[in-house]
Order: sequence, then structure tokens, then C-alpha cells
Amino acid sequence: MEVVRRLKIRNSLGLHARAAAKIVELADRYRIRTCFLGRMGARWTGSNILSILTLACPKGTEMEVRIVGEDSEQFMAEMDALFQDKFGENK
Amino acid sequence: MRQDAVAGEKSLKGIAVYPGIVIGKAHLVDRSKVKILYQYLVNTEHLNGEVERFEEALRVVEKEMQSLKNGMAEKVNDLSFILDSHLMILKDSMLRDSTIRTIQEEKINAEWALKKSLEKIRKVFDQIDDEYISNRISDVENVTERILRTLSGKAQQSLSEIDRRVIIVAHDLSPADTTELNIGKVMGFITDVGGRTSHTAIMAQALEIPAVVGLESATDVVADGDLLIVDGSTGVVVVNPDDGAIIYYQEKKLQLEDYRSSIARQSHLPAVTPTASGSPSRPISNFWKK
Repeated sequence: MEVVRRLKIRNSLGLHARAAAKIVELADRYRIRTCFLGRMGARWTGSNILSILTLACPKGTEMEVRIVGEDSEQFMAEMDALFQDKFGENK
Repeated sequence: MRQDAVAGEKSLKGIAVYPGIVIGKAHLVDRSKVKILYQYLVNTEHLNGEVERFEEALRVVEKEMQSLKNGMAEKVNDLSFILDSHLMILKDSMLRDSTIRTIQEEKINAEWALKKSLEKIRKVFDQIDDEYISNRISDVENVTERILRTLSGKAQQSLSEIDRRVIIVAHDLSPADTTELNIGKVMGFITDVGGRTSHTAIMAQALEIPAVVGLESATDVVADGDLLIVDGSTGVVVVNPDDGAIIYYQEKKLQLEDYRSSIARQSHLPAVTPTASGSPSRPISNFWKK
């Protein structure tokens, strides 16, 4: 089962270390390495903090998130909520 | 200002990051970089052993960081995030998988392969426009240095083992170092590098420990066990002070403590602003004036 969605980065600092760490935490919880985050052709698995950081996404960037696997729907819903919630930041 | 400084006593000036005066013995922390040797490994058996040695080093470092994180005082919980991200870097394929691949393909030792991975990551980070993100390479360097130390068998001098009241003197302190500080034992710290917004400065503020950073030559000038006076308000550090200096700073310290406790004693009273007429007026919050 594959789910693909475009998610927008809404916090003012963009996808910095703390936000990237939250994505990695989530991906680790699902224990699958089949979550891909993409921007402008670059794609990385969601469990690598450095790779996510090197995508260097400022506020407003739309990322393509592709999740493959059994719980992909649930995983995507949580990922979506994380982006909506500005990674838990108030700005 | 004191004028009677004598020979033998040296004075340094850096960036003050947390106010307060401490007088105590210096504890020099050696954080010189580990030397890396290149080794070519012909034997397949050696290569497998090398991969295993690297993976074992990662496990050791992971365990160290986990126990640091677990033992961290609640006060600095905010900074446990730094350790979390270091744990993630440790597992990152750009560091881990790439090093293992380099060991196998180029038939070289783990240290050299790890160094190559770091250089590769540095190149990617150098190209990032966002200064905040490109600066995160320092976190990768901290993690790499820890792995290299473990590989070399040169145990990291742990700051958590300090059992006397001392003032830490270091070239720089990594975030992991600062989280290891035994808060009850460390009176203050001074470093050669760092600025007002460096990890060390943030840590000093979180722990409320007098600190001076950016002293440039502190580790050259200060020897282990030297008597130090650190003035975290002015950024002045006096090495091997004479009696006059000690008395001067003792008094300044007492005044500062008196002043602080008087503020603390009055803090329960309502804020009052004296007016021209002499009768006190209570301040009104701007909120109600809208």
C-alpha cells in the first residue's frame, strides 16, 4: 500500500534540526524505512536526520511525502498532523 | 578598579556569558583532536574485523550518550534535545552506512573511512545557503570525534567524574560535554572559543554558572590546579591572583550576593513607582489602556 501526499512546511524556522528530529522519531516509531521525503528531485528516507536537513526546506516549501507499507495511511495521518501542528512550534 | 596587580598574576578578558564571581582551582580539560592514521587492509578477514570494530564503537558511543541523557538534571532537559539529535546522527546512513561501505570498497581502516564520510557530509552542508542548517555540521563533527576517540581506545575524559569543586578550563566544550558537567561540582567555566550565542553560553545560562567564553588563550595560560578568579559579569579572568586581588573579588562577590538576596527578599512586595508628588503610584498594565 502506497500513500503519497504533498505537505507544506508552516513553521517560521522551516525544517531545522528540531523539526527534522520529530520526523525521524515518527518514522522510527513505524519501524519502516519506506517513508520518503522529497524536494526538487532529491529524495531521502525519513529515518535519516542529516539527509532531511540537507534538503534545506524553508517555510512554505511543499514536500512530497511517500509512504509504502502496511500502516501507511495511519503513518501519513500522523505525518500530516505533525506538519499541520508546525512541528509543535508556536510560530 | 584595582590598580595594585603584581607580577605572577595574569589577567585575561573574554566574553561574559553568565554573571557572578567564583574563586577556585582550575581543571584543565583536554579535548585535542585524535590523530588519524591511514591503514590499508589487504586481508578480507581484517576488513570484516574492521567493520565489526566500527559497529562496536557506535554501540559504545550510543550507550554513553543514552546514559548521559538519562542522567541529565531536569534543569537542562531542554538541552536533552541536542543529545537526541546526536543519537540520530550516529544512526544516520550518511555516517554509518557510508563508512562501512568505504571500509569494504577501499579496504581501509575505520578511522580513515569515517573521516572520509565526515568530509563528504561537510561538502553537502557547505552548499546549503541557510546558515543555521549549514552550521549543524558542528554536531556531526562532535559525534565523529566521539566515535574516533572510542576507536582509538583513548577514553574520553569524562566531566561527570569530577569530584572536587573546580572551574573548568577548556578550548571548547561540546554540547555532550556540557550536559555531562556535574552541576554540584562545577563552580564556573572558561573557554578559548565561543560567543554569546554558543552552546556553552546557553548552557551556562541554563545552569546559572558564572562563565566567560572567547578568551582565546585560556588553555595556554592556565595550568591544571592554578587558582582562578572568574568574573562572569565583566568577562575578566585572573590567573594566580595575589592576596590583594582575592580580597578585592571576595568583597565584590559578597556585595553581589547581598544585592541579589535583597532583591529576592523584596520580590514579594507589590511594584511601586515613586511619583513627583511623593505619593507612590501603582503601575497599570498597558493591557487595560487599549
